[in-house]
Amino acid sequence: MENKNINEDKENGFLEEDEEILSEKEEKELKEKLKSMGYL
Amino acid sequence: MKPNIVIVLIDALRPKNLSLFGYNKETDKNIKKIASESLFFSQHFSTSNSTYPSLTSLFTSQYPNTHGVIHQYPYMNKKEFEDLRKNKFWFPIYLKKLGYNTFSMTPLFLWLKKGFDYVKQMPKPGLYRKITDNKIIKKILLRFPNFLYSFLKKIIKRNPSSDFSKSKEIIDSALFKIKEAQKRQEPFFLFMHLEYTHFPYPRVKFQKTKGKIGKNEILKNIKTQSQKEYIKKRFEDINLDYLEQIKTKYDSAIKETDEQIGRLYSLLRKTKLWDNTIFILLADHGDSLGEHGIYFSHAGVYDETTHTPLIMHLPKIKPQKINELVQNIDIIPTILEYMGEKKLKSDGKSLIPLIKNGKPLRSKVLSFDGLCNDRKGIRTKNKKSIISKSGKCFLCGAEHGEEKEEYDLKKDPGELKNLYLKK
Repeated sequence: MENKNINEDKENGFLEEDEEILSEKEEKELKEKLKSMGYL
Repeated sequence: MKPNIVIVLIDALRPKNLSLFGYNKETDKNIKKIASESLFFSQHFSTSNSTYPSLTSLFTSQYPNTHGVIHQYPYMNKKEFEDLRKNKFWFPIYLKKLGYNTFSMTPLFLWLKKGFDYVKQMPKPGLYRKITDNKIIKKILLRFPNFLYSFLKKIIKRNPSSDFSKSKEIIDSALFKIKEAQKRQEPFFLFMHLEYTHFPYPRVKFQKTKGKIGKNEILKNIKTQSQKEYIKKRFEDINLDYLEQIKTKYDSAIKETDEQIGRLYSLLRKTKLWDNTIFILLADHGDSLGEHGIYFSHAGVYDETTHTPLIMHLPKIKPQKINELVQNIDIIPTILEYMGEKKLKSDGKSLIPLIKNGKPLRSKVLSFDGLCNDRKGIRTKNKKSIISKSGKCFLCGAEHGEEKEEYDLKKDPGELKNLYLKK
């Protein structure tokens, strides 16, 4: 299965810069949480 | 006014236990009625056997390998979080921009709650959950005999799944929000995730009868020690002794949830909102109740865990049963086309041409296993292929299947004879 990613298609961008599904801060927090639980 | 959108997602609901699909018990009186007045897709397959990847597929209209979340939380790796952040489309946010009031009547967490004006509060995890969420403790519990687990449970006195909200509580909140939105005369998007059909179906009332297949008989046929311990603990969680009792409790959980869906449907009908509401009912994944040696989990990509119901009511579109292959990634493109919105470039396909002309859109469907490192299933109407590169189950440590599997679904719908082994 080809791993295509629509996100490379700028015309298709529906979210603004400040509307990420996961912000940088949230990503960091999640990684820390998983690290503390022993998964990362 | 723009149509309202209601999505009801029922956790771990497998067609096998619905009379709509031929089950001999009527667990689904209301679901069946709604299906008869809607578009009923009998061949709907989830892109994943796990909630997080499946729901992310629903809201992004992408396969897990495109949106990034291949594994169930907390088994995700760093790359998955990074890939997730690259997504540029998220359905609840899109609707918010269109002026919708967005409500999630279920305690969604992490990214899944993004774009909702209201998210039902989630109970804080108790001490038991905090301890057993740890990877090392999980491993210890799987390796050591059951008494340690019983002892731990007794000390902490907490049911591991008491975090689940009752279907009635969720529907109560939903009915309240619908009435509120109706007063404001603004379109709303209501999302519900009913978890009561997920093992161990806590607080579901059911009639306990005797069973034939007991815990010990099941354990006799289990080869992997860690899976043996896992199954013992599952029996402990549900406090039952026989497979048949667990199946009866699952049926009762479906029935209880179905009754609540009936309440929601009645309100939409009574208020005439039904005439301007897109109503979707589906499951995130199915469940395995002993099939393929998988007990009380949704591991593996056999039909028990990937085949799920899909019912879609699009106002003014005639009800019909559709037997073509479709996936959960097709739902959002269908809604967008129906609403006359901008076309979404994604892995999903709008089902409108299929609905209008009966033209099949997919010759095959793809499902990922979110509960092991690497397993995928590709299915046509008559054939299934499963490829496992690293298939050890995160939950029980067993390999649920072979490296390569092939099934002739016409002759063998239960996926019991692996044809690849005969080659």
